Amino acid sequence: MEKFLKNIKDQFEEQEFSIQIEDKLTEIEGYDSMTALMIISMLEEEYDLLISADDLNEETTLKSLYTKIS
Amino acid sequence: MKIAKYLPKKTRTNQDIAEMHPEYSIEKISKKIGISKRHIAAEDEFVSDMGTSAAENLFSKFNIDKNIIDFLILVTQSPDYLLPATSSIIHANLELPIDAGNIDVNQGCSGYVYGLSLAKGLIKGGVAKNVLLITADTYTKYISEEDKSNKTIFGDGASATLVTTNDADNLGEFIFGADGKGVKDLYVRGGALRDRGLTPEILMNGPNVFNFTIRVVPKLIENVIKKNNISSDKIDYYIFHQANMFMLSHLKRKIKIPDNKFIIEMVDFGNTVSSTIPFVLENSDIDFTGKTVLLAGFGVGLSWSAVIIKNYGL
Repeated sequence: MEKFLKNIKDQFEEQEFSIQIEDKLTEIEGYDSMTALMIISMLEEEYDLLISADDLNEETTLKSLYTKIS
Repeated sequence: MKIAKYLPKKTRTNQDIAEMHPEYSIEKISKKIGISKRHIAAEDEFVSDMGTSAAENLFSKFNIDKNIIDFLILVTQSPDYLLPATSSIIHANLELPIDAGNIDVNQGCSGYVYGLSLAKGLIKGGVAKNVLLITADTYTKYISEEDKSNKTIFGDGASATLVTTNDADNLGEFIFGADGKGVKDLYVRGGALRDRGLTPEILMNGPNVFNFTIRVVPKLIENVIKKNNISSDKIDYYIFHQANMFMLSHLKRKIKIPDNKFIIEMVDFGNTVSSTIPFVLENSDIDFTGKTVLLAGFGVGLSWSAVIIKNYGL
């Protein structure tokens, strides 16, 4: 799970924040369409999960996203 | 194939965008998308002007007699008028033979390959012998003042390609496809009859377009290789629509294309829609002559297309 959180965090431009599994992606400061694009790319490459932008934005928390890949 | 290009004089650099949007991390983003400069059509410069200039550059660069042209295909999504076809204006500007046909094709990122297939069809069907294929777009006129993302990605430009009977022989089998469910992932709202009265504005859902390319492009490449009955190691170069470097790099890794066969050439142009593929063919330091080249376009529509050219330019 730690690796997953790091992979998510790495897609953000600003790195000065902590990330928790209960966080909602769209509520993390700095989340925008470019970050979404990079997270979609990372999920596909690292976890073979192809997710639409709408689904990504609708995920309630990072935990629910994590359950999709585990 | 003989190809020439035309680029508007005015440019928009990353520095220009940073000045327009000081809150925007343009340098970091442009590094990811691989664009440092875009050309921008002047206020009074339209697709017919740019397409005409590209064709004139083609005629002078290769000393081509315009009287051999018997068909003009213009690929554009930013026409001068709703009607008539903008190719009619270019036909007149170039003073092409009066019995040369003309048609506009409303395709974007997949448009150059579409244009090549139509040219091949016209030639193989005995309708024409020398097709002038022009791609031209002024997407930047659709970008709103506030839209920093699309300002970063899109540039204007035009290309002109002469497709001869010899070139038609070298154009292999084509693959096409469409998914109209993604129409609004990249579209211009206003400017035509639906949403009449609204100022035309380009709207793009970048993550959805990216998702679409990951879903479609690997299969597209596999299918076009299969249809041309060729082994992938016989392909010398892969030239994809130059959407942005981030997307292209992801596709390259996913399809496992060797670095030396995968061409990225957009740093000074940006995404010029249907002109990106001919710009690579025209601008690259690589001599494609005699090579086997795979071309693939994908994007607005959503739409995709691919072809393999053997003995390029011979």
